[in-house]
Amino acid sequence: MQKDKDFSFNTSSSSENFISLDQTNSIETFCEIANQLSVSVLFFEDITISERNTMILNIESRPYNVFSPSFVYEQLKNEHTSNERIKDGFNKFLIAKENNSIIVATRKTLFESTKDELMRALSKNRRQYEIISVNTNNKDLLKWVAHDRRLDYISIDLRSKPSIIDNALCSLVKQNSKCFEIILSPLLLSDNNKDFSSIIRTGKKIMKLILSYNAPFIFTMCPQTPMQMRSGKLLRYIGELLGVPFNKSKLAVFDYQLSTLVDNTVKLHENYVFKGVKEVIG
Amino acid sequence: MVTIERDRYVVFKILLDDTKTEIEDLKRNVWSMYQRLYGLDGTTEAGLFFEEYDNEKRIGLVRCNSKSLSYLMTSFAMIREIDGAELLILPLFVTGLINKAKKYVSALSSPNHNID
Repeated sequence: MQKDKDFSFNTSSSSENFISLDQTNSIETFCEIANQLSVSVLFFEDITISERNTMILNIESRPYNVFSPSFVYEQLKNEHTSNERIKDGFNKFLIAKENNSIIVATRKTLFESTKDELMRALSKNRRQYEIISVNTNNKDLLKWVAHDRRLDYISIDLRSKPSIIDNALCSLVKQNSKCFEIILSPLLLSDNNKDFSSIIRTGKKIMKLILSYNAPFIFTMCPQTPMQMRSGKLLRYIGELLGVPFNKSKLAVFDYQLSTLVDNTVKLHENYVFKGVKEVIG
Repeated sequence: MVTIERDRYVVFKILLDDTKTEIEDLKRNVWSMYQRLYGLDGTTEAGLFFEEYDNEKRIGLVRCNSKSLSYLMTSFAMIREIDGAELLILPLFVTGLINKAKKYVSALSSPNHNID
């Protein structure tokens, strides 16, 4: 007799990569829904690391615990040396049931359209956020971004022209271990059928190119309200609308985000000297 | 060749701010979203049937064809409001046995539920 394939939706972790806070929604309301959806890493847009730390201190006791990535790294840095091991440590920390934990990280999206403007913005924002991504329509700038080690993601809005992504860019992104960040919220928010079908058409074109090069990509919902957040599995099901098979998007909802976060947390720590070298006291 | 169509039972929970959701509104929204994404032909093949729905706990059970499971999940993920109220349909458990699904629903509905 064939064994029945039951599965529960609450077993796997996921992350929401692009949360914008406004006056009506606080960090707590997002964390509350994230706790129910098993979303264990939240990235808040336009909040600096110091602001985030203050916000975390002000959160009252809840059924979940909120941590900063640097706090988790402090716990793990003496046990593990390589970034891979530290990433495993983060994973174990998040999975541990007694912690019931959510990691809150910060990010900044730069919308500059020229290289000079971008470099200026980068020098201003670089050490204040854990993740930095770029969203631009300038094709040449995107190629420069793909080379730059200070930038993490290339954000792609499904309403933008599909021509900004080309073969060369996909190849560069793969070589330099960067990620395409696919923002899925236009799919959720469009009420008009014509608009909806054009978004799907653009998305399918972009994803076909990205998949053909096996370039890394991540999905994000970019929620404006807590109810617009989706769990990792639901994001992957939405990704199927863009022609991404469910099994090919496994890393796109948690793993790439966590690796980037761990790498950047290690870089931002005071003991870090340069890649592969860190100061050890005692 | 005879092919057997297998069913899948999806236990879901609705996360909603304050207002109550009636089963009829929910059905209408799931059907129309499914139809918007996969057309009338896809909807008829899915064999959607709402087995039960607890209005107080906002927990429900829906049956669909095994081949249409991923389409149903996509439809759930794409629904964002019912009658102007924002909501989120969260699938909790998928099984091929109705008894198991009902057991899961009743365990969730009990005051001190503990599901492993």
